Amino acid sequence: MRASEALNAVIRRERVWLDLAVLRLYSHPGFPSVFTEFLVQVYHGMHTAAALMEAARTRSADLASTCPVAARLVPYWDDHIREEAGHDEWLLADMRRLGMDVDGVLSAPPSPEVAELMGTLHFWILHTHPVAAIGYFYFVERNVANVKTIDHMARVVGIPPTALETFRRHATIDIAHGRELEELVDSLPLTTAHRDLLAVSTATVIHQLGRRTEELLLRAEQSTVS
Amino acid sequence: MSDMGGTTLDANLDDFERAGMLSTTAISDLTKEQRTAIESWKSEDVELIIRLYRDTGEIKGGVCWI
Repeated sequence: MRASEALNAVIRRERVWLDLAVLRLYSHPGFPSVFTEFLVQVYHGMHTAAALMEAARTRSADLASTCPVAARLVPYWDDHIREEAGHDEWLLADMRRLGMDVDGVLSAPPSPEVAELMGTLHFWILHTHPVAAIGYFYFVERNVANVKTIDHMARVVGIPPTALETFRRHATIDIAHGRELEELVDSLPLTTAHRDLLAVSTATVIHQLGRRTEELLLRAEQSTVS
Repeated sequence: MSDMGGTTLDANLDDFERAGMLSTTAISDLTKEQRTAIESWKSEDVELIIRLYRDTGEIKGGVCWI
């Protein structure tokens, strides 16, 4: 079985709750009340993803002389760091256009759910193998919001359809990134240990995104009863 | 999915399955706690979820992150 097929099987098994929880959040009457928090979390995720890739690139380079998988990851991280550079700034620009207090966003600590998600990946990069970080990008970039979903968000929140420019741009560019990731995963000389780490890191990303969605749902629920 | 050992009716999951959102296999991958949470959702909320799914064609959890 190709590595991507094995990873896709893990994703199919682990994602069911997250899929439903996300649809519930986006259709929840309280979603507008947590939309700002939602954007802030996504911003911190995007911002930290840049540091995640830098850490993965450094660790891959450190291991490259003895690990062919790490050696193959170095050019991937180089390219992906370049491709993703400044995307968090796009979201900050969207947030400014929406009238959000961006300085406040930058000075407040990221939520525990975001720290848990990104921190776990950093742990694996530093203490196990940088291939763990591929699981994050493999899942997130192959499951971007489509334009209809972005339109829905804008409509229920009451903002102009063009306001969420960062999401719209990713609806297009991440399709290509997703294909590249599948080709990369299938081209790596992965050992069983690498495959196992990739599977557990991807499953953990899905679980932690689920927990983060549950927290937002809880607050959306509270906003409609108070 | 309508008969869980003759004791529990998973009405909301039945609705999602009928809407084409979830397969029987996918439903079996949910934990007991997740199933309980889903079954606690009100029928009008389930209708909103199914409507959003039909309007957008989305059933992808990654849509919450970029």
